[in-house]
Amino acid sequence: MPPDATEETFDLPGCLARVRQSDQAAARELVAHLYPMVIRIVRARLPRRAAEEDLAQEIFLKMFTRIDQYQGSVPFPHWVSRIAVTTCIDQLRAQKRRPEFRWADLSENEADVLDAVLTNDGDVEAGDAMAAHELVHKLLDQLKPDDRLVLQLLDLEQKTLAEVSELTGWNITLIKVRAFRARRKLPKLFAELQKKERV
Amino acid sequence: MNTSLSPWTRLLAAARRAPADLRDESAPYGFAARVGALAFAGREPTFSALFARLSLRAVGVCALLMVAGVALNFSSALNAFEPDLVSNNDPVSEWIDASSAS
Repeated sequence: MPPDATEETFDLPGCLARVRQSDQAAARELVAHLYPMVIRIVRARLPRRAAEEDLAQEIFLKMFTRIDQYQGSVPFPHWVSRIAVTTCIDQLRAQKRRPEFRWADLSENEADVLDAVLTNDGDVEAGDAMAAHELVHKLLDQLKPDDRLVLQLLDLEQKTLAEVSELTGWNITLIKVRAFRARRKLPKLFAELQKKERV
Repeated sequence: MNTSLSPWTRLLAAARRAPADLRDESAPYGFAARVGALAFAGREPTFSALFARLSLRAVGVCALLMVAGVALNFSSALNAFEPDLVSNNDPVSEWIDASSAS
Protein backbone atom coordinates (compact mmCIF):
# COMPACT_ATOMS: atom_id res chain seq x y z
CA MET A 1 0.00 0.00 0.00
CA PRO A 2 2.56 2.59 -0.98
CA PRO A 3 1.51 6.23 -1.28
CA ASP A 4 1.72 6.72 -5.05
CA ALA A 5 0.70 10.36 -5.58
CA THR A 6 3.97 11.93 -4.48
CA GLU A 7 6.10 8.77 -4.65
CA GLU A 8 8.12 9.91 -7.65
CA THR A 9 8.92 13.41 -6.41
CA PHE A 10 9.65 12.53 -2.77
CA ASP A 11 13.27 11.64 -2.02
CA LEU A 12 12.60 8.86 0.50
CA PRO A 13 16.20 7.54 0.87
CA GLY A 14 17.51 11.09 1.38
CA CYS A 15 14.77 11.85 3.87
CA LEU A 16 15.48 8.64 5.81
CA ALA A 17 19.19 9.47 5.97
CA ARG A 18 18.37 12.89 7.42
CA VAL A 19 15.92 11.40 9.93
CA ARG A 20 18.66 9.04 11.12
CA GLN A 21 20.76 12.13 11.83
CA SER A 22 17.92 13.44 14.04
CA ASP A 23 16.77 16.07 11.54
CA GLN A 24 13.32 17.17 12.76
CA ALA A 25 12.38 18.84 9.47
CA ALA A 26 12.99 15.53 7.67
CA ALA A 27 10.88 13.73 10.27
CA ARG A 28 8.02 16.15 9.60
CA GLU A 29 8.33 15.57 5.84
CA LEU A 30 8.34 11.80 6.32
CA VAL A 31 5.21 11.90 8.51
CA ALA A 32 3.37 14.13 6.04
CA HIS A 33 4.38 11.82 3.17
CA LEU A 34 3.30 8.57 4.85
CA TYR A 35 0.21 9.89 6.65
CA PRO A 36 -2.32 9.08 3.85
CA MET A 37 -1.18 5.44 3.74
CA VAL A 38 -1.17 5.07 7.52
CA ILE A 39 -4.57 6.70 7.99
CA ARG A 40 -6.11 4.40 5.34
CA ILE A 41 -4.87 1.37 7.29
CA VAL A 42 -6.05 2.83 10.60
CA ARG A 43 -9.51 3.69 9.27
CA ALA A 44 -9.95 0.21 7.77
CA ARG A 45 -8.86 -1.63 10.91
CA LEU A 46 -9.59 0.85 13.66
CA PRO A 47 -11.21 -0.62 16.73
CA ARG A 48 -14.50 1.07 17.42
CA ARG A 49 -14.35 3.86 20.00
CA ALA A 50 -10.64 4.44 19.31
CA ALA A 51 -9.36 7.80 18.08
CA GLU A 52 -7.73 7.47 14.67
CA GLU A 53 -5.29 10.37 15.18
CA ASP A 54 -3.98 8.88 18.45
CA LEU A 55 -3.42 5.53 16.78
CA ALA A 56 -1.69 7.16 13.79
CA GLN A 57 0.60 9.02 16.20
CA GLU A 58 1.45 5.78 18.00
CA ILE A 59 2.31 4.15 14.67
CA PHE A 60 4.64 6.98 13.64
CA LEU A 61 6.38 7.03 17.02
CA LYS A 62 6.98 3.27 16.72
CA MET A 63 8.35 3.87 13.24
CA PHE A 64 10.85 6.46 14.50
CA THR A 65 11.88 4.27 17.45
CA ARG A 66 12.62 1.32 15.17
CA ILE A 67 13.96 3.24 12.17
CA ASP A 68 17.52 2.07 12.81
CA GLN A 69 16.32 -1.53 12.46
CA TYR A 70 15.09 -0.92 8.89
CA GLN A 71 17.49 -2.78 6.61
CA GLY A 72 15.90 -1.97 3.26
CA SER A 73 14.94 -5.57 2.41
CA VAL A 74 11.36 -4.41 1.70
CA PRO A 75 10.20 -0.98 0.48
CA PHE A 76 9.97 1.45 3.39
CA PRO A 77 6.19 2.09 3.01
CA HIS A 78 5.59 -1.69 3.26
CA TRP A 79 7.69 -1.81 6.41
CA VAL A 80 5.63 1.04 7.89
CA SER A 81 2.34 -0.55 6.83
CA ARG A 82 3.28 -3.69 8.74
CA ILE A 83 3.92 -1.59 11.85
CA ALA A 84 0.51 0.04 11.30
CA VAL A 85 -1.30 -3.30 10.96
CA THR A 86 0.35 -4.85 14.03
CA THR A 87 -0.34 -1.72 16.07
CA CYS A 88 -4.02 -1.94 15.12
CA ILE A 89 -4.10 -5.62 16.13
CA ASP A 90 -2.45 -4.78 19.47
CA GLN A 91 -5.08 -2.09 20.01
CA LEU A 92 -7.85 -4.59 19.27
CA ARG A 93 -6.30 -7.11 21.67
CA ALA A 94 -6.11 -4.44 24.36
CA GLN A 95 -9.83 -3.85 23.90
CA LYS A 96 -10.65 -7.06 25.72
CA ARG A 97 -14.41 -6.70 25.82
CA ARG A 98 -16.01 -6.93 22.42
CA PRO A 99 -19.35 -5.18 22.05
CA GLU A 100 -22.31 -7.55 22.17
CA PHE A 101 -23.98 -7.99 18.81
CA ARG A 102 -27.75 -7.76 19.20
CA TRP A 103 -30.47 -7.52 16.61
CA ALA A 104 -32.10 -4.72 18.58
CA ASP A 105 -28.97 -2.54 18.21
CA LEU A 106 -29.04 -2.66 14.42
CA SER A 107 -30.37 0.23 12.36
CA GLU A 108 -33.45 -0.36 10.21
CA ASN A 109 -31.30 -0.72 7.06
CA GLU A 110 -28.87 -3.08 8.76
CA ALA A 111 -31.73 -5.24 10.02
CA ASP A 112 -33.19 -5.38 6.50
CA VAL A 113 -29.84 -6.39 5.04
CA LEU A 114 -29.32 -9.04 7.67
CA ASP A 115 -32.80 -10.35 7.13
CA ALA A 116 -32.20 -10.53 3.37
CA VAL A 117 -28.92 -12.44 3.64
CA LEU A 118 -30.20 -14.80 6.33
CA THR A 119 -33.48 -15.68 4.70
CA ASN A 120 -31.99 -15.79 1.22
CA ASP A 121 -34.91 -13.60 0.32
CA GLY A 122 -33.73 -11.74 -2.79
CA ASP A 123 -30.74 -9.49 -3.30
CA VAL A 124 -29.56 -6.79 -0.97
CA GLU A 125 -30.53 -3.45 -2.50
CA ALA A 126 -27.72 -1.28 -3.84
CA GLY A 127 -28.82 1.51 -1.51
CA ASP A 128 -28.15 -0.74 1.45
CA ALA A 129 -24.48 -1.26 0.57
CA MET A 130 -23.32 1.06 3.36
CA ALA A 131 -25.52 -0.77 5.84
CA ALA A 132 -24.08 -4.08 4.62
CA HIS A 133 -20.56 -2.68 5.02
CA GLU A 134 -21.32 -1.56 8.56
CA LEU A 135 -22.87 -4.93 9.32
CA VAL A 136 -19.77 -6.78 8.10
CA HIS A 137 -17.66 -4.72 10.49
CA LYS A 138 -20.05 -5.40 13.37
CA LEU A 139 -19.78 -9.12 12.67
CA LEU A 140 -16.00 -8.94 12.39
CA ASP A 141 -15.91 -7.13 15.73
CA GLN A 142 -17.20 -10.34 17.31
CA LEU A 143 -14.13 -12.29 16.25
CA LYS A 144 -10.66 -12.39 17.76
CA PRO A 145 -8.37 -9.66 16.39
CA ASP A 146 -6.27 -12.04 14.29
CA ASP A 147 -9.35 -13.81 12.87
CA ARG A 148 -10.98 -10.48 12.17
CA LEU A 149 -7.94 -9.16 10.33
CA VAL A 150 -7.51 -12.23 8.17
CA LEU A 151 -11.17 -12.25 7.08
CA GLN A 152 -11.19 -8.53 6.46
CA LEU A 153 -8.12 -8.71 4.25
CA LEU A 154 -9.04 -11.90 2.40
CA ASP A 155 -12.83 -11.76 2.14
CA LEU A 156 -13.75 -8.08 2.27
CA GLU A 157 -10.72 -6.45 0.66
CA GLN A 158 -10.04 -9.52 -1.53
CA LYS A 159 -6.28 -9.44 -1.04
CA THR A 160 -4.18 -12.41 -2.08
CA LEU A 161 -2.50 -14.70 0.46
CA ALA A 162 0.88 -13.24 -0.51
CA GLU A 163 -0.36 -9.69 0.10
CA VAL A 164 -1.79 -10.65 3.49
CA SER A 165 1.48 -12.35 4.37
CA GLU A 166 3.44 -9.25 3.41
CA LEU A 167 1.17 -7.01 5.47
CA THR A 168 1.00 -9.14 8.59
CA GLY A 169 4.28 -11.05 8.54
CA TRP A 170 2.36 -14.36 8.97
CA ASN A 171 3.19 -17.31 6.75
CA ILE A 172 0.71 -18.55 4.14
CA THR A 173 -0.21 -21.76 6.02
CA LEU A 174 -1.00 -19.81 9.18
CA ILE A 175 -3.18 -17.39 7.20
CA LYS A 176 -5.11 -20.27 5.61
CA VAL A 177 -5.66 -21.96 8.96
CA ARG A 178 -6.80 -18.71 10.60
CA ALA A 179 -9.17 -17.96 7.71
CA PHE A 180 -10.63 -21.48 7.87
CA ARG A 181 -11.23 -21.27 11.62
CA ALA A 182 -12.64 -17.75 11.43
CA ARG A 183 -15.09 -18.68 8.65
CA ARG A 184 -16.30 -21.61 10.74
CA LYS A 185 -17.30 -19.19 13.49
CA LEU A 186 -19.47 -17.08 11.19
CA PRO A 187 -22.44 -19.48 10.72
CA LYS A 188 -22.53 -19.77 14.52
CA LEU A 189 -22.74 -16.00 14.80
CA PHE A 190 -25.55 -15.82 12.24
CA ALA A 191 -27.40 -18.63 14.03
CA GLU A 192 -27.10 -16.82 17.38
CA LEU A 193 -28.48 -13.67 15.81
CA GLN A 194 -31.46 -15.48 14.35
CA LYS A 195 -32.09 -17.10 17.72
CA LYS A 196 -31.95 -13.73 19.48
CA GLU A 197 -34.36 -12.23 16.97
CA ARG A 198 -36.96 -14.87 17.72
CA VAL A 199 -36.68 -14.37 21.48
CA MET B 1 -28.28 -14.17 -6.87
CA ASN B 2 -27.07 -17.70 -6.43
CA THR B 3 -29.10 -19.16 -3.59
CA SER B 4 -26.36 -21.62 -2.66
CA LEU B 5 -24.14 -18.79 -1.39
CA SER B 6 -23.71 -18.47 2.36
CA PRO B 7 -25.10 -15.45 4.23
CA TRP B 8 -21.53 -14.28 4.77
CA THR B 9 -20.74 -14.37 1.05
CA ARG B 10 -23.97 -12.56 0.20
CA LEU B 11 -23.29 -9.95 2.87
CA LEU B 12 -19.73 -9.41 1.60
CA ALA B 13 -20.93 -8.99 -1.97
CA ALA B 14 -23.34 -6.28 -0.80
CA ALA B 15 -20.71 -4.61 1.41
CA ARG B 16 -18.23 -4.36 -1.47
CA ARG B 17 -20.71 -2.16 -3.35
CA ALA B 18 -20.36 0.50 -0.64
CA PRO B 19 -18.80 3.73 -1.89
CA ALA B 20 -15.14 4.31 -1.18
CA ASP B 21 -14.14 6.29 1.89
CA LEU B 22 -13.79 9.87 0.66
CA ARG B 23 -12.56 11.43 3.89
CA ASP B 24 -9.52 13.71 3.70
CA GLU B 25 -6.31 11.71 3.98
CA SER B 26 -3.84 14.54 4.51
CA ALA B 27 -2.25 15.00 7.91
CA PRO B 28 -4.12 17.41 10.23
CA TYR B 29 -2.50 20.79 10.81
CA GLY B 30 0.40 20.47 13.26
CA PHE B 31 0.32 16.67 13.35
CA ALA B 32 3.63 16.17 11.51
CA ALA B 33 5.39 18.83 13.61
CA ARG B 34 4.10 17.32 16.87
CA VAL B 35 5.06 13.77 15.94
CA GLY B 36 8.45 14.90 14.59
CA ALA B 37 9.21 16.68 17.87
CA LEU B 38 7.98 13.75 20.00
CA ALA B 39 10.06 11.32 17.97
CA PHE B 40 13.31 12.98 18.97
CA ALA B 41 12.28 14.03 22.46
CA GLY B 42 12.66 10.55 23.86
CA ARG B 43 15.76 9.55 21.92
CA GLU B 44 18.96 8.63 23.78
CA PRO B 45 21.68 11.21 23.09
CA THR B 46 24.70 10.10 21.08
CA PHE B 47 28.16 10.14 22.71
CA SER B 48 29.28 13.25 20.80
CA ALA B 49 26.07 15.11 21.68
CA LEU B 50 26.43 14.11 25.32
CA PHE B 51 30.10 15.18 25.33
CA ALA B 52 29.25 18.54 23.76
CA ARG B 53 26.48 19.14 26.30
CA LEU B 54 28.69 18.21 29.28
CA SER B 55 31.58 20.29 27.91
CA LEU B 56 29.35 23.34 27.67
CA ARG B 57 28.28 22.84 31.27
CA ALA B 58 31.91 22.46 32.33
CA VAL B 59 32.84 25.70 30.56
CA GLY B 60 29.99 27.47 32.34
CA VAL B 61 31.05 26.19 35.77
CA CYS B 62 34.69 27.13 35.11
CA ALA B 63 33.69 30.66 34.09
CA LEU B 64 31.66 31.05 37.31
CA LEU B 65 34.54 29.81 39.45
CA MET B 66 36.91 32.18 37.71
CA VAL B 67 34.67 35.20 38.31
CA ALA B 68 34.15 34.16 41.93
CA GLY B 69 37.90 33.69 42.42
CA VAL B 70 38.70 37.13 41.03
CA ALA B 71 35.97 38.78 43.11
CA LEU B 72 37.09 37.15 46.37
CA ASN B 73 40.78 37.87 45.86
CA PHE B 74 40.40 41.32 44.35
CA SER B 75 41.84 43.14 47.37
CA SER B 76 44.85 40.80 47.56
CA ALA B 77 45.49 41.27 43.89
CA LEU B 78 45.40 45.05 44.34
CA ASN B 79 47.85 44.84 47.28
CA ALA B 80 50.30 43.00 45.08
CA PHE B 81 50.82 46.16 43.06
CA GLU B 82 51.28 48.48 46.09
CA PRO B 83 54.91 49.38 47.28
CA ASP B 84 56.38 46.72 49.50
CA LEU B 85 56.28 48.27 52.93
CA VAL B 86 57.47 45.10 54.57
CA SER B 87 60.85 45.30 52.89
CA ASN B 88 61.45 48.62 54.68
CA ASN B 89 61.45 46.83 58.00
CA ASP B 90 63.47 43.95 56.76
CA PRO B 91 66.10 43.14 59.48
CA VAL B 92 68.60 41.88 56.91
CA SER B 93 68.48 45.05 54.85
CA GLU B 94 68.65 47.11 58.05
CA TRP B 95 71.74 45.16 59.13
CA ILE B 96 73.37 45.70 55.75
CA ASP B 97 72.54 49.41 55.93
CA ALA B 98 73.96 49.59 59.46
CA SER B 99 77.18 47.74 58.57
CA SER B 100 77.74 49.87 55.48
CA ALA B 101 77.26 53.07 57.53
CA SER B 102 79.83 52.00 60.10
